[in-house]
Amino acid sequence: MGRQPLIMKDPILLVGSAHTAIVNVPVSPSGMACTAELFLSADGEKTKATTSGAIPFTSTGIVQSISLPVVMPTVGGIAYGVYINIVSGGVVIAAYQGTENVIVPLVGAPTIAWG
Amino acid sequence: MRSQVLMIEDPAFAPGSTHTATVSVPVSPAGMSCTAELWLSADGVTKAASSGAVPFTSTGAQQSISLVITMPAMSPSGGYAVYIDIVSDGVLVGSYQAIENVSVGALVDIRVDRISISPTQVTLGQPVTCIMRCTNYGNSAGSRDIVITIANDGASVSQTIRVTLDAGRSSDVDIEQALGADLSAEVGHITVSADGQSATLDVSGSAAITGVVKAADIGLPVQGATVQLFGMSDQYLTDANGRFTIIGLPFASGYLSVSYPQYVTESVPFQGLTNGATKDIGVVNLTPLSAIQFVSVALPAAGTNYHVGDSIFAGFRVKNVSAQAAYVNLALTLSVAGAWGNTVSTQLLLQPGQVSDWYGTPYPLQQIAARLGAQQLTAYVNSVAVGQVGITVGPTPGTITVVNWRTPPQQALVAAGDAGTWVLKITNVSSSYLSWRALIQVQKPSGGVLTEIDTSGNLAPGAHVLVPSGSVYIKYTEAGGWYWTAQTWANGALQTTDHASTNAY
Repeated sequence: MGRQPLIMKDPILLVGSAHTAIVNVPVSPSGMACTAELFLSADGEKTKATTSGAIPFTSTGIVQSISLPVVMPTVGGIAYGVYINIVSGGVVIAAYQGTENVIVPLVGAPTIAWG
Repeated sequence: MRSQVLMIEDPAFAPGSTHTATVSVPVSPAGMSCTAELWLSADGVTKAASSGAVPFTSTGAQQSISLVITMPAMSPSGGYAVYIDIVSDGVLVGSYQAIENVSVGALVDIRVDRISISPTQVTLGQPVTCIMRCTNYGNSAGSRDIVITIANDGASVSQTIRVTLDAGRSSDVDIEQALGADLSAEVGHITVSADGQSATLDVSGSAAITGVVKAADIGLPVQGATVQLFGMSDQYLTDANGRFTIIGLPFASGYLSVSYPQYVTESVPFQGLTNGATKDIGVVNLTPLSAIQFVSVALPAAGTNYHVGDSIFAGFRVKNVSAQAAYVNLALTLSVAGAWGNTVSTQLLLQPGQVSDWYGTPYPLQQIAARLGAQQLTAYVNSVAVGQVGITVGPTPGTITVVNWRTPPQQALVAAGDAGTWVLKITNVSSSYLSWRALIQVQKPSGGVLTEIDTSGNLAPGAHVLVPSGSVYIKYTEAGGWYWTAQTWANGALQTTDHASTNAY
């Protein structure tokens, strides 16, 4: 199953900072025990640079908000791809990839020369 | 918390002047829309001046950003701290503070315009005039320490002259008078330089010196006494009449060492030698060692703990037991086990039967030694050890420590052309930033002083620096005794002084 596009902003987040992604998603039918996981990867989801872990929720059959806390990677200077997996009964029922990347910038030590 | 940034210069600017700071910084990933702002502040909050947010796009590699800023009015005490903020999409992605501050105020800009020597070719001892023309191109009166280097056929000596000038004024400085130097006192091709300006002098010719050595206790000439010119390896023996003659001297002034077994070695100064002439220094009287009786020595208690900057009190009592006036040499040496020490000494003239004391003179540790740790204080009478005690030296609280004297030159014989090294480790043991300076100099056998290291910087609390950072060494280009001195300062105050000697043959 290919990943579907996920509309999102192109955020700049600092190395090691903690953030919560609010994902609005409709899952039907209602009453299903599910988990949602958001993770960042710089190599096409081969390696998870960071992840929210699998957060459990119960489907409502309509659009519902799920909070996914993530701590940014310790390696800066990279634009990370954003991935979300919705799993129920061990089956991935939905997979998304953000249309934009999360940018974790790196600014090296500068030098100053006066003219 | 802001990170520190290296500022290549320690700038001072005129009030209201506009300058461009070129900031070189790597920002990644490439393609980010960013802004950079450089600002000055005296309190870390209020922006006294700012470049404004200057946009740029990150390249993912080191890139240069030009930030134009107009200086504010006069600096507060300590100057303005320099801050750099890198922002992308409203997020502060990099914030830095420079190690050095910017000073804004009156500008003193004293430079050397030229150096001249007249005449440019002389014989040994012939007077010359060496003038350095300086001008203050700044907008305020002030002073500047100018380093003058005098070189002679590869060997050089550096000394500092403080020049004070009103704004826009020029002045001629007499180099020989200011340095107490005699440019024609040594044969060779002499170059005087400062600030990229230089002038040369050729000194030719040679001189001779003669004298007679006598034994003071019997009043007769001494045959076979050894006479040596300090800085030269050749030795000369006196004849049956006690006379010696040394010809072909390349110096107009210096010292002779005169020695004979069972007599006190004499150091005899001479000056005023001229080309082609022989100077007679008269009679050199040698005092017999047996004329002096050692009575007592007072040393600190064993195990006494000192700090750098403390004083040591020690002293001697000696008596002349002969029927003639006699000289006695007294010395105190502070040394680390296995290493050459630092010595203070004196020579007393005692009349027949006279008892004399030499003690109570304070010897601040930074004046004679500042190696940390266990050391030995040894007392000598006519080069014979008469007492020794162990003490310890600790760092001065609240300032810096100087330790780890790596490969210190020992008092040892080396071949002319060999090299020696010396490294200092300076650690900030205070709780605040401080400025430091380190000076390592080497005195040549012929008397000149080479400045090998004169460097300074700043240290964070707990941080340390190695001086020199690389492998710097001194080559023993002439035979004789080479004398090393290393000094350190913290916040402008002298902290440590240490010495070592090396003999080249």
